[in-house]
Amino acid sequence: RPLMLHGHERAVTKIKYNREGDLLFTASKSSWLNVWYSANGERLGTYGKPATDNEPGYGHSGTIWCLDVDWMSQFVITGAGDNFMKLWDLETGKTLSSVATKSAVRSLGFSFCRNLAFYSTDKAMNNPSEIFVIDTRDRDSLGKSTAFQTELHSNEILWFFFTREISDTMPRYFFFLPEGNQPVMKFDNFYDKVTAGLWGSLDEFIVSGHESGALTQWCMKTGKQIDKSDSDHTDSIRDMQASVDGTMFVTSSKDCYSKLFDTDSLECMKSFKTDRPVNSAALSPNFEHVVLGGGQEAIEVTTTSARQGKFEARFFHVIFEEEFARVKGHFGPINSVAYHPDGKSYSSGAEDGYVRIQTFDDSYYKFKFDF
Amino acid sequence: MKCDSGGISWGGTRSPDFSVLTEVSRIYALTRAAFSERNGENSSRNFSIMAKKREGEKNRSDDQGSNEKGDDDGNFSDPDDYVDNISDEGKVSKKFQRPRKRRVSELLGDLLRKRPSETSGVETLVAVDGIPVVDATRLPKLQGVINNYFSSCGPVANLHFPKDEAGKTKGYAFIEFKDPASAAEAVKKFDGHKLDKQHTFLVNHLVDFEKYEKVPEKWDPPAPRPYEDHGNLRYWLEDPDCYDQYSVIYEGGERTGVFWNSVPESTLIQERSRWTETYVEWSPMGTYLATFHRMGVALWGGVKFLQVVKFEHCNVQFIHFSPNENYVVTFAPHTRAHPTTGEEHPLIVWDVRTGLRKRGFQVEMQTPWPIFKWSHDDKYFARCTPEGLSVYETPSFGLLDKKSFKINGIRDFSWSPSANIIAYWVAEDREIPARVTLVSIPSRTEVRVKNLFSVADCKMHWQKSGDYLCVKVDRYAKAKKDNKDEMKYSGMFYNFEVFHMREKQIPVDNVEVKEPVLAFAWEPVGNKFAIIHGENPAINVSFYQVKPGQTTPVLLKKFERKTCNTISWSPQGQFCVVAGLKGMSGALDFIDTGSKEINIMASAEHFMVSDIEWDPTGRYVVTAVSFWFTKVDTGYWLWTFQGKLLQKHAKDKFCQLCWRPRPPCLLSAEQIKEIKKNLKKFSADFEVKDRMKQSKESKELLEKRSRLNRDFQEYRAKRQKDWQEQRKARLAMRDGVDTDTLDAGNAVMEEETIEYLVKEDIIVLEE
Repeated sequence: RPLMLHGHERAVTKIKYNREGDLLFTASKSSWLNVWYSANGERLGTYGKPATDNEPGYGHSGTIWCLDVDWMSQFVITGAGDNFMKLWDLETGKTLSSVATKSAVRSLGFSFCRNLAFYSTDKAMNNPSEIFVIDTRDRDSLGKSTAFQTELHSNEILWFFFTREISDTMPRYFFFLPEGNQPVMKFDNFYDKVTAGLWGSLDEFIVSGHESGALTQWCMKTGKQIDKSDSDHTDSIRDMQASVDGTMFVTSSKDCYSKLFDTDSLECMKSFKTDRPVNSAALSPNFEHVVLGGGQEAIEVTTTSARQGKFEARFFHVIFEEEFARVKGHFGPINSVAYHPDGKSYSSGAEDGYVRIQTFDDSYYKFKFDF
Repeated sequence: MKCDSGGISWGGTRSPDFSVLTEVSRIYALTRAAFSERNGENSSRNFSIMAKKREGEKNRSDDQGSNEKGDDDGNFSDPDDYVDNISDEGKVSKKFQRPRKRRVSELLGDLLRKRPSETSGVETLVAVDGIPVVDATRLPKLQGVINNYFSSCGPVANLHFPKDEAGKTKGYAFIEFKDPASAAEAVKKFDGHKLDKQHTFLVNHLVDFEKYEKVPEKWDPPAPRPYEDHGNLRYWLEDPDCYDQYSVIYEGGERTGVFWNSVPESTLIQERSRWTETYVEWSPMGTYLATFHRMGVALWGGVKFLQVVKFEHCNVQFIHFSPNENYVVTFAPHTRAHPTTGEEHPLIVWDVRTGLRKRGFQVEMQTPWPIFKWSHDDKYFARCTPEGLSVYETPSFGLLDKKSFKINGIRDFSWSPSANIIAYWVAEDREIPARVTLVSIPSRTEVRVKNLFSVADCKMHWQKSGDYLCVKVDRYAKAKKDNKDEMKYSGMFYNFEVFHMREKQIPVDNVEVKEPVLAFAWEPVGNKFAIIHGENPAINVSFYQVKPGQTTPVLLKKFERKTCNTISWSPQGQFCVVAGLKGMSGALDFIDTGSKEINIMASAEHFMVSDIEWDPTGRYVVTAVSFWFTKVDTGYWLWTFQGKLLQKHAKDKFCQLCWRPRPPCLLSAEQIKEIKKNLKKFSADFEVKDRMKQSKESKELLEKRSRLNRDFQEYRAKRQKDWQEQRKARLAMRDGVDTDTLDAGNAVMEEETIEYLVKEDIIVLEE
């Protein structure tokens, strides 16, 4: 029996476990974030609240597109369609920092050490899609960063490193103090929208997934593009999730494929084909399994039945690229899937507003492919 | 009035090319005349455009000297170069001359076509022989007579009677018409016309004289076309595993492929992009694959699917092969005249082997495709005409006995698939009942006539072996004409009139069904038929059997409350698929009618299925969702005849799948019987073969998997080593806390107890 979490009035956009897996964070189009006990599905609290007649709201006022939790479970960062990126105190639910952006924040992520975080913005009006890197410790700079953004030139990506103290724990990085609000590095030719991203091993680079299906590595030392793969996916990348050790990641794309890449070389190693756009994919921490969630796009679901939309979560064997199981239940496309860090359950959040926590039964463990 | 003062000017040289533009020029000349009367200020808004050009025109007139002025001085009837008015800019130079010409042809293409060519004059002339010889005194009278005759074909421009020294006419005359069409008409109309007992007109086109003069004395036999070896066009029948082929169009028509339906996965034989512009069609025996192009139809065959022959027919949309693949009919509904040959036939019959055009036809009435229906042996083909039925014979391609069948009110006809018998039906006409008639060809004897009353419509269904003909008759209780003069029928019921073709006198049975009939289908080999009847949601499928000697077909089985609208029989009979195509859910029922009790072997579903295609052997069925019907989930699924799903092919923008037909079996009935008797023996061999193949496949699969596994584990080992090497750096980044595994940091963690509220009981204690 799955746990059905219904804490959102609107479509669930992103779900995430913390490192230990005891908490499950769910973001949705209904502008607030929920946190649940993954063990029993009890709601622990919310981050942000919409305004009511009696009291003013706080937090985001638009669709929350992305969220991340640091490894210590102290902070949560969220990016939303209201052109804000926010840093929350996990325990109290207070907003610690609020960064205004020029367009919707589409993806973000804490670095491994959690001192840095990146976020990417949409291409909107005259603003190009950009990736920003911020130092999460320096709350002041976060506030200030809004000032810098107004000086951005279009068609350039600007990397910001705002840091006042160069930590001993990160001796490998060059950190530049922005003097006179000058951008540290610039890149030209940022042509298509960043739709997903993650940190590379030891926070040395960021991998971004794009609307065209391309993947790009950006070096944190030189601030330059290192590597690029633009032929593996043919349509927008919806999600990227790393394996436990971070050496591999799995992409999901609108072109109905989900693929496994090596984080360092961006070499496509495996591909999993479905007949519907894939919105999210997650790797099992302890088996060679990958779960794919997706389905007919909500905008195209008009006359077809739920069965027709194929809103199932599909399990593939990573090595053999063969499908071995499907889990039904949602009546809208799945927007996000996540494996519990212990690999004994997984969750899916869908356009129908529900989050389902499914615990694997015995047959899941017994199942083995012959080879 | 000078052009300088006027609002417009007419520049340019007078080129012979433009002398023909009299019509256009005249209009302009007239307007110009009117304009000049009003003293030519460019106040008229109609000419404001031209006025803009004035600058350029002026330059031009300077360049080109004085003849311009002469033109402008009142000589309006003589047209100038009209082109200047449409040139975009005023700059005129010598090099501008050429584009100007081209421009004219673009803009005035239809006018230019009327321009006389060099042969002008000869085409309009005819020579008339066989005219009475008269002297000069009676000449005017003769002229009058001749003129009377020939002016009926069109305006006569000139009559010329050559005379001898004595002034007598020579007995022939030349007539010049105003246009070539009248000349042609005159030849058609008066050649061989009897003026009186002694005189018969012999009218010839003057062009023909020229033509026949040029005929060489010696006839050279045309060089035989070198024989092209297309290889074995039937090679696919020699496949040791007896696999069948099918063609698939996908990517919205961009790509077409031909596949072997091999086990366990299909194998691609040929794939080409833009092989056809619309769809493909196999010839009835599978020898050729026909593709459609703007310029015509191409047939492909052989191992490599090379082009065997092509038929040039602009904008062709439909083709229809004769059953033995000797001929093909192509149809281009919107045919325009061919640029060189003047070809205007929308319907053309071709010889497949030589690729030669046999005969072209015009379309006389709207009939569903195929317009021409072929007899089973390719000997005859026929079509409905407004007056009756025209039957043509091959290889002469003339009308059978040079006359059509006169049948008033004929509605439809069809050939027996195994004999030269035509069945047609005639609609009711007041007191005369509707009737279905069977006519034997070429003897034209009526073998059977059946009168029917209260008939709204008839549909003729031949059983594939020609043993039976079933006419589905839509009958009514009441009929009345509505406002639009269309018949409105009410109280509809349906009769199935079954003609037993193999029996003496052709007895007729009938079955009556009160409910609306959605579909009817004969078992291709055998004596059963299936109908779908009833109204949604109470739709039923009934199976009937026709037995010789019995008066009514026997109802074998009725399946009630099915969601279906189509019956698709296996080409070998016995099995059929009953399906709800297109709008209906896509339910599929695989039915076996061979056993004592007709039963459903399997029920399945293919959502939104739009087509069902049996392979020619009846072993496999394909259910397809075509892009032409719906945009999502296009592709095709392959099933066994028992309804076991074998393969799913999801193809992007999949359009059409066609099985390659097979020619009729060469084995005699006895041989087939023999095989059926010993089927157990044969099947044992096949089973061994299948098992070997299967074990080989599973072995291959396992090998592939273990190879993949090995490679992946190797990769993982390498990457895990890297990861371990980074451990120190990693730990440093997280302040020395080991988070490599989930439990790694547990030692320092505090234990936390979570309490759940499992149940809340409120027990009211006594006060």
